[in-house]
Amino acid sequence: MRVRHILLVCLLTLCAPATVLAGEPHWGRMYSVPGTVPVREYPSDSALKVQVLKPGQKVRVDFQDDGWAAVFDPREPARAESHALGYAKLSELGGGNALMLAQATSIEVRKPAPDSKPEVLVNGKPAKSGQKASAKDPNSAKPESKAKPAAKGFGEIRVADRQLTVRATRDKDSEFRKVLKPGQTVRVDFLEDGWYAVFDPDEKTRDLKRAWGYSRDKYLVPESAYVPPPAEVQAPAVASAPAASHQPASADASALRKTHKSKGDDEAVGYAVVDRKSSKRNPPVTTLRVRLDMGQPPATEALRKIVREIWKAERKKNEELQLEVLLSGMDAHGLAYATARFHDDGRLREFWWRDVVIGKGKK
Amino acid sequence: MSNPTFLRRGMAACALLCLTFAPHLVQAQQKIGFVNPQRVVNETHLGQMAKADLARYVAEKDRMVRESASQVALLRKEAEAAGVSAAERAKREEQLKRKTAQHELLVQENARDIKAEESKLLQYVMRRADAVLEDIGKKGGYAIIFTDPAAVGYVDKANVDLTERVARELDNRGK
Repeated sequence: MRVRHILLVCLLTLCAPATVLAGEPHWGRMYSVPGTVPVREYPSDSALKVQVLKPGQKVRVDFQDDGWAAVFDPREPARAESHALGYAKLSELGGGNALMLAQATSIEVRKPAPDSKPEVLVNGKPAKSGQKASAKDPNSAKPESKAKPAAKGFGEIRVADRQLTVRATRDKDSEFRKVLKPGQTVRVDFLEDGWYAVFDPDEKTRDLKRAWGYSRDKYLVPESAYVPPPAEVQAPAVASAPAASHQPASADASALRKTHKSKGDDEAVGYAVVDRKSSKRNPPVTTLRVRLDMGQPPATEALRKIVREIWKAERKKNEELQLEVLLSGMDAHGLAYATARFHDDGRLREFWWRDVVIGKGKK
Repeated sequence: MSNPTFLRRGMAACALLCLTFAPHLVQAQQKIGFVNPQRVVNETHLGQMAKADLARYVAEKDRMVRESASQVALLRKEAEAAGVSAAERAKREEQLKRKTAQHELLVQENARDIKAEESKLLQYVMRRADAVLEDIGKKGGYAIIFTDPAAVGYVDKANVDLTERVARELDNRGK
């Protein structure tokens, strides 16, 4: 009873949006847009404008990268980039209006000892009774501020939401260090250019020299936001999968299976890389053949999103990458179901599919 | 060990069987069939899907060409605009020249890609039809089944043309 009262008092002292946001999903960051903000199809100024946010409109924001972030409906329950409305510049979203409370991914009441006072932790940090969401606070303004010492140790604890490569530097093409398994907990800090320095979760010293390496921030989610993939996707059967025999023995081969969510469909979609071939053309074109963990094709728009996600995850620096998509049960060397070619910024340049290979038309 | 009477009777039965069926075997070796691949594509559900896939592909390529053409048109308009300095005009004309070359290359590449895609889709349908053809050939005792209309001068449609049969069987397998 006493614990409940204290929690109530603490919550009441927090800003008004708390009540508005109660019961809403706890992931990403909430923003109240200061002015009109264009939402684009891709994180690029030249990308198609798909929507314009109005002043005061609230949006959920996540998957920050290079000054851009994916924008979601505030009620969006699933943290999946494919569910995003589009992308907006963080600078345009006006970090100053980021809603502090909305950043709370967890509210926890702890009682260190039977006689001691219970303490309320917001995001693992002690909540002061006078804590308010300050729109003027420059720290809260930063949508992805550099990790600060948490209640215990430094940085923060995050979970890999997929098989994730840890690299020697903040570069996709840098030396491979290790692979994080989906659901593996790590300590992260030193966020820069969309890359976190990754440490052992028990690491006590905030020193880059002690880091395992670097991983992309968007795949390291807060513990509360982590949703385990479905059993069939989670199965670490890459080695035993038929596709495995065609895999290159590169470091990235260990991260062949990833999960996606297609729009309008909450079922996670896993995929395996079946083949990766580079042509001798100048500039060289790499054709990546992937097999989706689905026997029937998704809706066209969902498939478009899936191929864009795969492109983002699999493309190496400055590589011209095109995708050939197979569905479960299709011949690995036969005609692909869909083919996608991209612009340098990730927009789809060409996209087509063949109903004939599945013997029936799309629903 | 063995009964000579039984052996004699067995050999006689074999000889009789050979005499009865030998002419039919010779006849079977002489059976010839013909299948028109274009009709298989036109008259089967699978072929229709392949055609729809090709039409979608062509539409996608056309969209790219239209986009590129509109960019060329825009550059041309800018290059021909009045009141532009000579240096600026030269710059714009150079851009137009480059874009026009790119556009022409795109049109050529698209034509080549469409042809390649058409061939891939036709091959896909015909590979499926080949399996049907093989079954019909074996079961029907055909020695040869032609699939090249150019190689056939005359076809007795009632007896030799298997196109309809192949198309029907291919549709049945797709159900």
